[in-house]
Amino acid sequence: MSYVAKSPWIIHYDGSSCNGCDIEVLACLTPMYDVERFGIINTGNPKHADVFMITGAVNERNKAVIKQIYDQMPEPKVVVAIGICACSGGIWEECYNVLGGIDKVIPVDCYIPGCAARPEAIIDGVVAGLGVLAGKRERMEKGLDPEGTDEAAPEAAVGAPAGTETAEAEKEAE
Amino acid sequence: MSVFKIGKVVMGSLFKKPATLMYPVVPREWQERTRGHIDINEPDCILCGMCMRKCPTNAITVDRDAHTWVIQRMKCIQCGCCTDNCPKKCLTMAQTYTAPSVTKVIDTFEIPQKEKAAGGGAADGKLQNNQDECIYCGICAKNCPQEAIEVNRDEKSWKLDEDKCVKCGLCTEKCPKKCLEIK
Amino acid sequence: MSKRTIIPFGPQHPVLPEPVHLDLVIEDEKVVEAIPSIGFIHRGLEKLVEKKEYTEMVYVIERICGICSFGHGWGCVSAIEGAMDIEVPARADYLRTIWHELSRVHSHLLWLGLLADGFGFESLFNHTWRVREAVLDIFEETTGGRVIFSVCKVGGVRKDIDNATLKGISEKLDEIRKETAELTDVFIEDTSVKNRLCGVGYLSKEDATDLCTVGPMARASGIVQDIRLTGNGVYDDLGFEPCIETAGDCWARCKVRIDEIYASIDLIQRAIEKIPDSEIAVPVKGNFHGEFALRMEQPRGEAFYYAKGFDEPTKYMERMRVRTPTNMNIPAMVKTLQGCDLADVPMNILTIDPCISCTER
Repeated sequence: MSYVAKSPWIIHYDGSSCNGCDIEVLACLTPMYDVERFGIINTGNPKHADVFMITGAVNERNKAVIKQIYDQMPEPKVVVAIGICACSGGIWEECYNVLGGIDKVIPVDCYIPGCAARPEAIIDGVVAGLGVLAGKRERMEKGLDPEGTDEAAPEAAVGAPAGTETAEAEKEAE
Repeated sequence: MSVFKIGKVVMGSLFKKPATLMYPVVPREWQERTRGHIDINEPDCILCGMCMRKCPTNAITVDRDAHTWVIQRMKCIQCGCCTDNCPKKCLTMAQTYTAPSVTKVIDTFEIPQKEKAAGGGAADGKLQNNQDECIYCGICAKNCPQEAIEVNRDEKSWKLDEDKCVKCGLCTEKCPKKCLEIK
Repeated sequence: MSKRTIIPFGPQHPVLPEPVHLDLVIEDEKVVEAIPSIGFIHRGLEKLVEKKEYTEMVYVIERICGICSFGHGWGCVSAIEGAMDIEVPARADYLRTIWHELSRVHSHLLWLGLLADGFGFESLFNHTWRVREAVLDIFEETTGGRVIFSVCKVGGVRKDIDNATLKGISEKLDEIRKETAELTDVFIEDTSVKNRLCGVGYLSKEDATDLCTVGPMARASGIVQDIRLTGNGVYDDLGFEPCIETAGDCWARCKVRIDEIYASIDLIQRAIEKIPDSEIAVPVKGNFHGEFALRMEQPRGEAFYYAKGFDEPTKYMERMRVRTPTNMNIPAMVKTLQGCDLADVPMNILTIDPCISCTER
């Protein structure tokens, strides 16, 4: 795995989860798995974060909260859905208050299966998410919409700094 | 008044081996019982659909006509219900987890068609009832997941709908007189 | 006349991983009133009894909470066994008790780490969770999962632990006890920790009784109540005394939970010596009928499980009701928040060991 050049900060939110995946996310920050080696910090402020790690399914009440946290994050941003409840609703899909996985509310960039997802799987998933993040940053620097898929640049490209060597390093990680 | 009591632990961690597992660089060694993902041994599967019925999240789909066994990896809770209930024991719990990905992973397995040989193996035999021993208790009918057996105690009749029978073997297990056989 | 402002706290905030929303009415740095509002985790899982058979319902109930997961699984399965009059073999009872006490050790170590993180002592949080990983390795070795075990079933347990592994666990617990002792010294005696915990969130014995608090929250205010003295499991054979303190503040609750860690390690070692050899499960036939209720001592307090079937025996239960301990402790939390400083709010919330996913199911 290549060590990323820009350290991504994460924000973690528990939406309708049983707390199993949340404690595995916190376990990633503790000495045994220690993602702080890669520069990852768990911040509490969405405006400082690059990666939105979310666990648990979406129910009627936290739909608005999840949307609000997602909107507050600055571009480029990546959403990582941890655990099968976040991927697809899991065992709660037939419940009356549960709408389904996170992709019913916000676009998800990486799915991490598992019940509860192991810290090794979470690290792998975050690394895959960082690859997507690098792709989005590249698109932003060319002046394209980071969430879109079109290739053509608009007429007046924003003056982009030539900082794209990190993109190759992160593509190796996948 | 004690100050900096954690000093002893801090000094210890300066000199002891670090506790970090260095995960992506050093691969992880799994324990024997770790529950990672479900594996299927395709030649043994008889497409009975017991795993589909027992799965708490409905992650498994068995299609008898298309001969496929499909599992949605993003819904499997690794509980092991399917492995415990499979009559042919073709499902096992493997130790590695399903890798995270950008799309929702759905794995499809093709189950090979069994050859119809004369006097063939258990998978393609017919369910037969030894009517001399049968006491018409109806336990086989109650337990049949496909409701393929019809038992009438008064008329002493035992009827099987062969199209519905998936030869899962539950009736042979539950029969108190052991008069049912698949051969 | 000073002005009052209302500060919304949660559901997403850096201090707690729990989504609970509080409206704090503040007058000059002192909280006058706290209005809680919950509902962010409610999934409505008790209605799933209509769709899942009674043998599969344990997988749903186990996932009410990831921290006290084994306790919920055991309670659900015991309620079903009680209703159907199924007698579980002795070895299964001992194994369940061993797993439940290990679950208590892991839950209290987790809470101690979060408490340290709550008052800013991050290195203590990291060390406590490092010690907790040893317990999670024991879980993985014996059940296959670190957090959700899926090892209880109606009639017994699904996996056995052989006696050699049990001896190994006993030795690992001695190591864990030694390492925990170094850390709990810091919680009990360090001056900076005591400044944050002593005198904060005081709850008198009368208030604790009126507000029906359960678990360590009640035991720290002097109420002698521990369901392990009367409930299921093999605690009678093992000889058990509850841990009681009388000071009633956050420091006393911290001390009660620390004492419970050591008591649990002793219980597990005694159970490993006394475990009999027998089968681990009895076969279960037939459909569900009957009605049964039982109480259990979870790490957070007293939990109550109720199972009821229809008049005719069917594969489905009619009702499964779980009442979790945090549900009873939230009024006590609101009471301790009145009159505290704004900086003490995280301490008061963490001190009940909140598990909002248990409360809301």
